[in-house]
Amino acid sequence: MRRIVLNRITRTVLLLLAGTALTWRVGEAPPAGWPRWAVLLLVFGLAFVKGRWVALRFMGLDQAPALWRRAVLGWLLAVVLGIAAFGLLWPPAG
Amino acid sequence: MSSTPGAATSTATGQALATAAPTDEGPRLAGDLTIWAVIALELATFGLLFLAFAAMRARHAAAFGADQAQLELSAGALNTAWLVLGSGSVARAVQAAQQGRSSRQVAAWLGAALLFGAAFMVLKTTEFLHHAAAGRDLSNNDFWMFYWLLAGFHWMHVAAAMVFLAVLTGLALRGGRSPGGGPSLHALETGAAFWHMVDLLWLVLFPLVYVPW
Repeated sequence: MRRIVLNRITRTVLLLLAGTALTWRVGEAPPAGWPRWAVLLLVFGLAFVKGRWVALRFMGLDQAPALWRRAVLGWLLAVVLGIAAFGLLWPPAG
Repeated sequence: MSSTPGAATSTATGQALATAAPTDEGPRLAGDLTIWAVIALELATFGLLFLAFAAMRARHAAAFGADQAQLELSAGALNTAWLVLGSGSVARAVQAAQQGRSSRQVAAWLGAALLFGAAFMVLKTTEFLHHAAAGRDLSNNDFWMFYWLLAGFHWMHVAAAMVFLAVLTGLALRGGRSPGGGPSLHALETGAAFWHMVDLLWLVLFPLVYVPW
């Protein structure tokens, strides 16, 4: 059987598109029985994973000095965790 | 995936592979340091706006949810796809240059990225015009103020990235078929870093603004 070997960039693009499709699907129709916090964590977890792929594989941060890699990934993690924290911990005003 | 130098030199085959492999230059930031300073500034600015939006949304979930329902989630997802495909094309352009391919091939990948960028701009501009025609502007309420601020500011960054890519494409086309005849790898990587930053920002903006959560 012939094995198809995809370029690393093509693989990353396909994974990013799959992640986007999943985000869209969950946004259109959240899985039945899922609590709000689970949807929120899935959506922003996907945003973190996709952003990490772009930073490491496309921006070349996997080959960059650790300081730059940590700065960008730290920014991404802080933003995603901050958004999730506001969504989960801060109750809406009456 | 790369092998460790120790493993590569442990056998005769390993020694041959190690000789044939490109020399390890150590960690390297792709692109000009100036563009990375700009990227750091942009990430900090957008990061604060993202957190401010999340805080306001958490406080006024019902009102934000009602306004968010006016947005077309499918259009947001499609725009994500255009930017991701554009990023893939830009990354392939850089890869082609790194591999010493002809500058015409580099130009073809950059041209593809420009097309995907144009698709994003057309769809986003149509969305802006739709909301403007419906009277949803900056002064309506907090949701629309943030929407226009975030999406409009991001739109301007996509436009700037496209100008950057168009200049690089022009240089690559002038380079013809000769390898290394187009823009320098440094210039390509600099433009690519800015484009990918625009994509990275959208990957957070899309679920934050478009997806109900």
